[in-house]
Amino acid sequence: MRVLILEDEVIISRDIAEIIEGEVEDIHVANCYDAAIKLMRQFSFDICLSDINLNEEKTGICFVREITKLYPNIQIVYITAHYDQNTIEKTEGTSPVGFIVKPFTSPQIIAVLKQAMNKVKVRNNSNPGFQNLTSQEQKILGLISTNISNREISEKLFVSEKTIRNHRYNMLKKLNLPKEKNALLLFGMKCFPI
Amino acid sequence: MKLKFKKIIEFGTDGVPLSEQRIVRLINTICLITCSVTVVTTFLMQLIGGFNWIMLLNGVYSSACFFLPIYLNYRGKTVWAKWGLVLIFNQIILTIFKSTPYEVSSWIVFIAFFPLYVALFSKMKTVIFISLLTVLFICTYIYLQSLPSHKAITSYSADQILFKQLIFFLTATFGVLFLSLFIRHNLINHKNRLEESLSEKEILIKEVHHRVKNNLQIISSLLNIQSRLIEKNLVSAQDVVSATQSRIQSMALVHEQLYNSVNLKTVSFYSYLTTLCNHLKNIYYPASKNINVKIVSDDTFLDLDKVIALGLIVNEIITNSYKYGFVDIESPEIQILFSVKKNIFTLEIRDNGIGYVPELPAEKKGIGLQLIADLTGQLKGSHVVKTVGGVQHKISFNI
Repeated sequence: MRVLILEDEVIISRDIAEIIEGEVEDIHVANCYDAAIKLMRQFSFDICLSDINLNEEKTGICFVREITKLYPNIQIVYITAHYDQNTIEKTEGTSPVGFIVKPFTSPQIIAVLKQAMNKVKVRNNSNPGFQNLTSQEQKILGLISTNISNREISEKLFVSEKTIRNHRYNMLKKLNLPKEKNALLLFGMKCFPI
Repeated sequence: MKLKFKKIIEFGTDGVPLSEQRIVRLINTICLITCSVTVVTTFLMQLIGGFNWIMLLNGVYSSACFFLPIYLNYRGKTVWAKWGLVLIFNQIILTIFKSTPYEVSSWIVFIAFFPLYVALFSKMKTVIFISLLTVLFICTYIYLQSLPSHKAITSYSADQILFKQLIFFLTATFGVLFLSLFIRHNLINHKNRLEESLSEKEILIKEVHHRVKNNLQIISSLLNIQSRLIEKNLVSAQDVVSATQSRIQSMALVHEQLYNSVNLKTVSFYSYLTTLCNHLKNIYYPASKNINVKIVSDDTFLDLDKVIALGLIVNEIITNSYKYGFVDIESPEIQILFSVKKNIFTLEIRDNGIGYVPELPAEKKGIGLQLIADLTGQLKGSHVVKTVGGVQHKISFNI
């Protein structure tokens, strides 16, 4: 399971990383919007813990909107100093697992993280074979499940259309799916329910 | 041209409370317009009616009178300007009946000017006082005129009286109209400024709220990180407590500086460093007794977040120097230099101590160096350490 932490204050992000160290193996930390976008293109993430106010023009909500475009089924947790109607309204449509209000305690973070992890696990267990896919393949499967064309997927991931076709072929082989039309789309929709 | 007018209208508004700024602007507007109108009419009268010494002197005198409050405002004497304007208006009220065929003309002009008095003085008492005084003067004048010993200076023919009546009533009517327009415009302008300032303050208060919570979170996180080190028996609890205390202080001092700053957004880095160094000296008192701390740089103003991060960095470096840097060193000294060149901020801290002991395992050093590295990363800057006759830290980042 791979987690991304987006938090502009390094001391806080280090603390969060240390808190969840025992729960997840793969933790990546970003201290600004651009760094987070870079990480998002490099790896596929299951869970994202994001601050909202990043002390720059872009907010954590902007980033979450970007990352959910790429990984439709990523689990989002907001960590914020503000928990008011205005903030909640702004996060509308990003369907976060939960909000953690600063100043937080370690058990709060662990509790919400576990909830998010469970959601990821349920998906992985109910769809055997999904775990065996590489992170790039998982990413592509997520995009396939939104029913968009190969060309659109290739544009989103900055690769050629042919690469996507290769990935599709490999995935069909790995998953050993029945030979019917739209097999990958059906499987993707099962993995990434809306 | 419009910009220049605006600049003149803003004369004397600096450093005046918001409610007074409106009055200063009103005085400047009225004086500027009446002054220019007087200059133009004097010039036209000279052109149309032929050269006339008395008229010319009169014009110069009145325009100078109206220019005076603007000048007083410019010099920052806003109260004098206000009373000066009142004096000028009263002078008009008390002399107007000489040039009109009416004895009641003073009354009419006084009633026309009355809204101005109300707008100029925020206290109703002052308005009533001035009005009563003026009324008293007018009454005395009229009474004196009615005495049998009084002789009219000039006598008019019937045609002249009609003409003067017309001119007088036209001027009075337009005077009242323009005056109320100015006051209205002035009030709307004032209201907009108040609203602007209010929304600015609202944003500021939200930001402060956010900062407070964020800073509490930073403190809580610092304690969290260090308590894990205590659990692993890497540092003693006592060390952690005193180190955290000085870190909290370095953050709190930023807010103290901010409270004293003018714009509530930027902080003087020099005065912040001075207070921070004094503070650290007190915390590590017996050890820091003979150590000389020198800050040799010109002042610069930095944003709040940058100063908080820099303050924590400086705190770590100086604490390290105090604690481990000076063992059997003659005339120990710490030097702090900083500068801004081409948008790059550089901070250098040097000591003439024993330098780092490289054998010390990384975990044993606590989180000090880790913090410095993390925070320079947050500033998107670089951190270089040299050990040439003591330790030299150099931190630079793009502002």
